[in-house]
Amino acid sequence: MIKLEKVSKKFGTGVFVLSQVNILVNKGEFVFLTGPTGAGKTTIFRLITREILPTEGQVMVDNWDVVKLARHKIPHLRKKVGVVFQDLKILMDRTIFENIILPLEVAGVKEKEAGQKAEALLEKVGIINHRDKFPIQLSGGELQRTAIARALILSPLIVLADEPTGNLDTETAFGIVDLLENINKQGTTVIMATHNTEIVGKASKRVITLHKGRLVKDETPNKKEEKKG
Amino acid sequence: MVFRTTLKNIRRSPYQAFAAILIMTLTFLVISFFTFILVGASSIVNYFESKPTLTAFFKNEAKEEEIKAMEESIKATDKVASVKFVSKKEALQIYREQNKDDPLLLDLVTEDILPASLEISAVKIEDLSDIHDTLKGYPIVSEIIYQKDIVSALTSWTNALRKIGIAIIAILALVSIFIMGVITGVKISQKKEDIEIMKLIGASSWYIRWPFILEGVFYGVVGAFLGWGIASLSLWYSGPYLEFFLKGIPIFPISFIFLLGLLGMELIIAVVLGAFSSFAAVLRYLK
Repeated sequence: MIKLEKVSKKFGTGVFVLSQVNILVNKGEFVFLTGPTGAGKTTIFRLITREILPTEGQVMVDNWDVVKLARHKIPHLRKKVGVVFQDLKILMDRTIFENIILPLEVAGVKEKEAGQKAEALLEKVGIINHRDKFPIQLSGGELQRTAIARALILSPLIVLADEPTGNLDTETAFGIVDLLENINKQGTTVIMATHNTEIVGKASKRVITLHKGRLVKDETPNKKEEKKG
Repeated sequence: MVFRTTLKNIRRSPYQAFAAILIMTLTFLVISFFTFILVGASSIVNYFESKPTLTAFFKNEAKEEEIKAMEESIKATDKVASVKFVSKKEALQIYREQNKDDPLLLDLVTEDILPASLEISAVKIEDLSDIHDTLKGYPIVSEIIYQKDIVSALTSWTNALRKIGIAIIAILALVSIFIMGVITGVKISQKKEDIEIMKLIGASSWYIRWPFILEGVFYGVVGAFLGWGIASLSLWYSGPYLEFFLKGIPIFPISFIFLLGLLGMELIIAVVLGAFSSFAAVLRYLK
């Protein structure tokens, strides 16, 4: 589903934020991407959605070569990949419902159909009561759920969640992980970036660890296999 | 969906919308007025051109036989379409008819004051000056008036007005393109975050561009309607006064079809102007 081959990314400052990273994520997998701040987790997500281009290497998403992807195809790629952004990127002047329905509007889905889909999803992520509230009226966990709902609305093949439990208390954080696991059970490939070791430890999922832009560990719960990147 | 976004953008920034509509209205008001003036002036010129006549007034001592002889010799040239003699008596009658509402003017004038005259219609307007020169040779003729002067004066005025009009309209169009461009630019930078988010969730560039371009078109169209409306209404109100002023020249009533045609033309210009200016801004700020 997702393949990063010898991917390096150097920013204008000359610092490599990723160097020679190889990752293969199969369809329907749930993967934690861990590592301290600055390890390159967000950079990987940005490469997958073609927000940035790698300095070298190949990025494949659902058999599409992301690096060589024509400009007009980028919107299609982004519809395949739902992203829960670290800073959520929720539009403050729109209600929760309007925020969630936005990707459907963009995709040109009919209003009635879009409305029904959004309602169902609000129900699923447990914030249907906040349908017509504005983001400022919601708690951190509720906003996180809003962001997840928006990432899910186009039924993407892949969900990338960037620190979705960042500022949340433990209970709420586990609630979010449960939600992502449920989504994964329905067949969506999920990659969750986090530095919360408690969550990673309890979930018993595949864990990819990055450090200073290098892949240092890639372990699956049953056969702990170590790889040096 | 795109239309709703456009309308929301307009509603949420009323002052920018007001500024944009104002400049567009001004542009189309000026376009309308200049069109009226130019069309009016050219129909006045046409009116005079379609009547290539000149009038030769006779001295009081001119004898009837002399006048008759002159009439015959003029009729003999192929440049003259018709000749009509107006005697002193007839002149008085015409004068009385023209001023029948003003007894004071009627009392002042008697048959003796008014000269007899010959009204000559030329076949072509170019021949007027030739005929004029021929008539000048007759000692019994005191004065000749003809419309060549009026026509050439009017034509040069119309040409000057056309040039001034085109210059002013071009400047205004340029100003409105810049103002609309700046307004669109401001709107785009206000929505920079929204635009970035939209792109990240899969919006195509055109999905983001369209509302801005439609907004520009909307301002243009509203401006065209307002400018045309104000100009047409003022023409309507000043109609009776202008009709009196341009006595006898058949301009009024202005045809409604002409006004509709003008509106149609202005709407086309409005769409082009609005779309072009916002499109330029979109290309500049939304890469």
